[in-house]
Amino acid sequence: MACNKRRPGSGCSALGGYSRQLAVVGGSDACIATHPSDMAVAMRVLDATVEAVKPQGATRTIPIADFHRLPGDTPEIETVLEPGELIASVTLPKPAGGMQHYRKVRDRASYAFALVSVAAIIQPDGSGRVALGGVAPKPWRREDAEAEFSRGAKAVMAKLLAGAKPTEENKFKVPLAERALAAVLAEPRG
Amino acid sequence: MKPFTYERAASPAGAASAAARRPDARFIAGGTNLLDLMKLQIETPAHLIDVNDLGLDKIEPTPEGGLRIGALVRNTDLAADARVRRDYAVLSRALLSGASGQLRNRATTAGNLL
Repeated sequence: MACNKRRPGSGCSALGGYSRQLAVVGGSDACIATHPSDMAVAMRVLDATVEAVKPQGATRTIPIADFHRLPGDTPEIETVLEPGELIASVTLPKPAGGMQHYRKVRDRASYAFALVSVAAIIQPDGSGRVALGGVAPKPWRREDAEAEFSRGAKAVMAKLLAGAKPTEENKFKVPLAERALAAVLAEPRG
Repeated sequence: MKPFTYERAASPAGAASAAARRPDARFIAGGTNLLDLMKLQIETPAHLIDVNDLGLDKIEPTPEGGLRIGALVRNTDLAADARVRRDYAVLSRALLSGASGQLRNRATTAGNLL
């Protein structure tokens, strides 16, 4: 199986092949793999930071927004960690409050990766934050989309998934993400 | 699975410098991904650096009012932490929606980011 992530330059079997699970936004002509973690999507919406230790013992702090790289033409390089760097901890800022949701949509009820997941923090005044899993090579969040919360899920998702290039097999993810966010917004706010 | 050598690191900087010396090495924590990939020979590291003994398994409050989560905190323990459940419920819910109980007992915070 050709995979530019596993064997750089070998090609991609998923582009034009089986792509139901794969990315609709943020991918490249080399790779449309999704980042599979649920935890990382929550960390992204919480504005976590990652602390890494270098071989000489020095540490650096990386905002989670910058931690994962988009594939471009080097999909084998998935994060900004340098060779030898070790993750020591992940720090959450002070609590954001609000109602905190994680809505995961998948092909079966348990033990499956997300087709789409929505991590959202909705405040009583209707403002909010949202990050998506299952749609991109990294937890997918665009802070500029969050200004649209007062106009509803469709407006938020139009910005959040702007530039999406789904395949025929996974184009369902775009309306699915919008409806998953709409379901979250229909929940009580307090 | 291909043969490999193995060491247990004693400090975070020691683990990092061991990895810097050996480009063919991988860190191993819970092993929930790496061992599967090694059995299929998708990953074929010649050396493993075990990072389970680094003391990075605590969840501590920060002076800024947040929480610092050690890299080796298991998904099960993070999801069940009373402070996480109360103040960062989205994180607890996300963790519990993934994998299985057995995997979450082994899977680590840092591993889940990669």
